[in-house]
Amino acid sequence: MEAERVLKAAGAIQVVKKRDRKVEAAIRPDRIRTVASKLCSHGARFIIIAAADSGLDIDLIYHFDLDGLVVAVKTRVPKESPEIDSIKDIVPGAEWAEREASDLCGVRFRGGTNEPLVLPKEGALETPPLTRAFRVLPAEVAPVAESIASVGATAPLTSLMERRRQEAGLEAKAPMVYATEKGTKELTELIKQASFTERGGFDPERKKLRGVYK
Amino acid sequence: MNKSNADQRVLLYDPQRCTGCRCCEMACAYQNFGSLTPIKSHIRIIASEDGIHRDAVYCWHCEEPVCAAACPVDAIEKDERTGWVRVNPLKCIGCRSCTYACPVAAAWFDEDRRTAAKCTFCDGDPLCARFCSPQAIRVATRAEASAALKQILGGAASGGGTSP
Amino acid sequence: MKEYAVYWGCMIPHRLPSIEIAARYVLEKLGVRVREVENYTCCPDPIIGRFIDRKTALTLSARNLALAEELGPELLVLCNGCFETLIEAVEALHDENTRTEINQILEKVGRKYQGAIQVRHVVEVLHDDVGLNRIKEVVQKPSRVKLAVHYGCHLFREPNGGDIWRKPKQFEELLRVIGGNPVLCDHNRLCCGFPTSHVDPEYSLRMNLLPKMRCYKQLKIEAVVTVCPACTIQMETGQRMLRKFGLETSVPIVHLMELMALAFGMRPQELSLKVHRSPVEDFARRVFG
Repeated sequence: MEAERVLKAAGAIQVVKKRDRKVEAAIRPDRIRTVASKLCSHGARFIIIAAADSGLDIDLIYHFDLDGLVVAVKTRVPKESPEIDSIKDIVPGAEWAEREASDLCGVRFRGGTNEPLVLPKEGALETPPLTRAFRVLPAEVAPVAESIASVGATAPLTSLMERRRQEAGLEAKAPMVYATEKGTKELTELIKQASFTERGGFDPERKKLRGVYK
Repeated sequence: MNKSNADQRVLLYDPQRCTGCRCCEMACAYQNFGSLTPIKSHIRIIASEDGIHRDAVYCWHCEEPVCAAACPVDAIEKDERTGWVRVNPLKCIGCRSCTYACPVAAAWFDEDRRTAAKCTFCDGDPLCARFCSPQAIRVATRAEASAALKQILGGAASGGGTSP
Repeated sequence: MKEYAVYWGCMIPHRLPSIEIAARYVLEKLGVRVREVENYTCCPDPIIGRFIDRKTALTLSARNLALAEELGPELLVLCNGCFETLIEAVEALHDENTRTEINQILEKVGRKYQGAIQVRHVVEVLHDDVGLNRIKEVVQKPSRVKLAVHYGCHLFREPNGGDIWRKPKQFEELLRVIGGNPVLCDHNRLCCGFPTSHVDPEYSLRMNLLPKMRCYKQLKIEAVVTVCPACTIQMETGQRMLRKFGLETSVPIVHLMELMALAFGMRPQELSLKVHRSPVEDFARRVFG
């Protein structure tokens, strides 16, 4: 009960009691320092940080022990900029765990040491050894998939074709979803609701699939 | 052929229906390797030199698979219940024996993973069959496939441990 | 005559609006009343749609079907790709669990798919519902030219193991009725190479388009007739690239709707045929001008 209250007060998005002695919390990455200090001020002991590459993001799971209860604090940082605040000044023991995550998964800890720990300093690998390809969809589908998700057509209508349509006596635009602002909004909402943003890695702001282009 | 073998679900390809669009190859590569490159496909469509005729190389999930017999480390196993013949990539030592043993060359060597690779039957719902518009590749029972293949191959497939 | 909801897809209005003009004319001449699906999205594309997320693709298809459902029980499509995508979506959404799952997403934007629509290809509608006799009455200028028929892979799609040659045969019959002379050869069935054109462009040209075009040149085909805008575009742009395989060819690639409109008396200049990248305009002026 105590742990759940503390986590909620520190700004956790979701707190789930997994089993008798384990609680899991999901937080935004910018809340990690708040959560860590709140937990520590209640007498929590830091256990470890587990880092795992999920394709588009890097998942970081901070484990704490609060009076025999395991508290797993989950957060994820995007692979475009895998950065998060260091907690080594709150929990000195976290430094090694941070350096390990930085070595193996390429996470940068702001205010942290960021020096190699488990890998040799010399002859560093090109990419961190425990990362995988930064994409979930094959690159070949990107242009069409992006166009479908942003304008609802396999390719946007060109201005030349718009002119040709008018010359031929047709409406300049096809009666498709992009023709009205309301329609475009509906499409954006639908793409989000179908979780194409998460499962396909579509970034609605840039109108691109994440990770496909360097 | 006993009853459970006759009822086993296998792939059946009909060259008379194939349009050569290679959607099956893309589907397979996508399903198994997350890429669209046909090189990574377990089913391969081959074309005659003049480009008119098509044929396919694909796993028949044989009654007595030679690939499994050839494997020195028992990495290839025929599932007793479903009858699908699959490679366990964790056991495979990459010796390529199966690729040479298979009479239709259905098993192949994946250079990237350094292991043998072959059709997994997509856990019962093969994507190649689902993506084939003219239903040139489809799921059939072994009895059906065997009869159809014998007709296509003109009796060449009769006899031997690898009868389709 | 029945009334249909009509779905134009995105290739026709965006790349080949001449097909849209022709189809409107043909349907009007035959007394087929249509109501337009508005505010629609791409079907989505049968190749790419399958490789992006299945749930997303099915959601977009279901939304299009829901829009069409409001207009009537039958949906007329003019593109092979749209036909296959939508017919597959209808099949998938037959399953109650899938339909509920997708409807939960659609609900968020205020839509619902009931599952009461039938997707029909324009070839089926013209052959079965309008009838060859009715078409024969409207024909003013029989073309009497040697034509190649390119069916397109997706036209073969037949739900529940039906006869894959049903629609292709109907397509040939339609051509004969408007006075065309379709040449039957093995190459007609071959894919145009569009699906693999991004993945393995060299192979797609050499093994799909080259044998087709070489055969058509030998047979002195005057035009290739398609029922799919994607095949049309692939064959038009692709045949220019066959030069590197030693084949110089420039065959007009024309959509069935365009050919029918011309046969029904539409003048070539009304069709905006310059959107084509093959000499369709010259062909139309020469034969129908």
